[in-house]
Amino acid sequence: MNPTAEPKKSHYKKAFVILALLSLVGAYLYGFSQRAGDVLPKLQDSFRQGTVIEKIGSKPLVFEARTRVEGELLNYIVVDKGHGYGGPLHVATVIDPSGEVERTIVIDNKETPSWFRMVLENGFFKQFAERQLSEPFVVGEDIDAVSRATVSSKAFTEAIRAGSHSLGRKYLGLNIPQRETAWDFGRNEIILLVLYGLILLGVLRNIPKLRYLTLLAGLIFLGFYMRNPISISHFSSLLLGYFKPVKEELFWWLLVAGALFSSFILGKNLYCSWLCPFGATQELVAKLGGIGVKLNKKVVRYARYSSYFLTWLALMVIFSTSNGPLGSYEPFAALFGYQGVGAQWFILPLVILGSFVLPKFWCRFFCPAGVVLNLSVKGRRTLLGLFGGSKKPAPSVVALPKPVESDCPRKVA
Amino acid sequence: MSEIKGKPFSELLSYLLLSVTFILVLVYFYQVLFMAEP
Repeated sequence: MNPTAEPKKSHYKKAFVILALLSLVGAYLYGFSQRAGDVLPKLQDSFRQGTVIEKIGSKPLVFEARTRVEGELLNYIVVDKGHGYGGPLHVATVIDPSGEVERTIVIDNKETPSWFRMVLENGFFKQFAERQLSEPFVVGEDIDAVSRATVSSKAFTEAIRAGSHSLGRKYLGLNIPQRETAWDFGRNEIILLVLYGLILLGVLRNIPKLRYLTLLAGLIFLGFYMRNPISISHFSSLLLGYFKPVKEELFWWLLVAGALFSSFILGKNLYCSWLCPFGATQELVAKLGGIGVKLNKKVVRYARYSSYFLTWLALMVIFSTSNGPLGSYEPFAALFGYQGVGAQWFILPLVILGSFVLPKFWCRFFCPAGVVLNLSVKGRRTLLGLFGGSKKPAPSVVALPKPVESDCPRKVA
Repeated sequence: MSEIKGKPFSELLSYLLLSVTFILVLVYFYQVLFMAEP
């Protein structure tokens, strides 16, 4: 082999990485600059011609709608925020002067398009019409969530409640008690913690068979029951600065923190191989009758680059639109929530078929969440190396038939 | 195992599935970015 070829290859690789990072920074800055949109034009479109809308307050953001000629007060409009699945959303609540809600207008949202469509088609927002401002507006109490769109339903309700109650107290003199936010710690959070505990037990005590139990539990609980496997949109939410409130979204935080903990602290991507429901699906398909083709190693190497490229592309879309779910091309929702967007409905059967042929078809060649978690492991090793950490590979605490690196399903031969 | 041009059918099927899935992911991005109703 040409002795100068290897350093040259390494230069090209570094150049590619730097270019990729610079482009991501560029996309992020562009998306950030597009974020703050003026609410007023969106409100004006929802009112009759001849209506003047004027801002009268900032906290909460309140407008008055008056007739142009007589100046008669038609409505108060309050705009407030909720924490949706994909990021913050804003809803305008239109209130008549007597304190009754007339209607609601979604100003912006970052929900997965199919979920938002489901919320609209189920007439979710009609529940708020003709309601008094002093009503609780709480999902499960006086508001019904749309089935399979609970997170979005709660977020829209949160925005409407926050705005209506603030306006009622400040502008209409209503005595609306402040709602105490309790920690949302219940059965689901306990199950997740138990699963993470079992994973740690399996890894630290060298019980590889426990992996089948946690994968099965992940498939049923995280996949079909919670419909909330980790995707690239989880990580992009953090990168975009969309921090969900910890008390109300404790499950989300536990899930993401657990996955990142195993990568950053333990130096192993345990989520992918021990918990991911989509990974579990592929393993199940392979076990039911997979062929398990072994590809040429060179082909595998180049095919794996596709997952890096697609992850970069997903992040470019996410950053430039400031919308996590938009760049989330994984067909998880199609399988577990029967909600897919566009080509995801075709990607899913191909992945299932591909799992018959190639082990961990999606994980090894396409999964962006896996790329992020594995890069976290690599990043940890680099940092440890920079700060004079041990250069030895982490000891194998799981006696798998393959090297310890194959904790990561991407290393399955 | 049956072969086509010296390669096993299953290996060729793998390449086909990988390629088509890759293209479909690109199609997905096109749909969400440029189509109003993907």
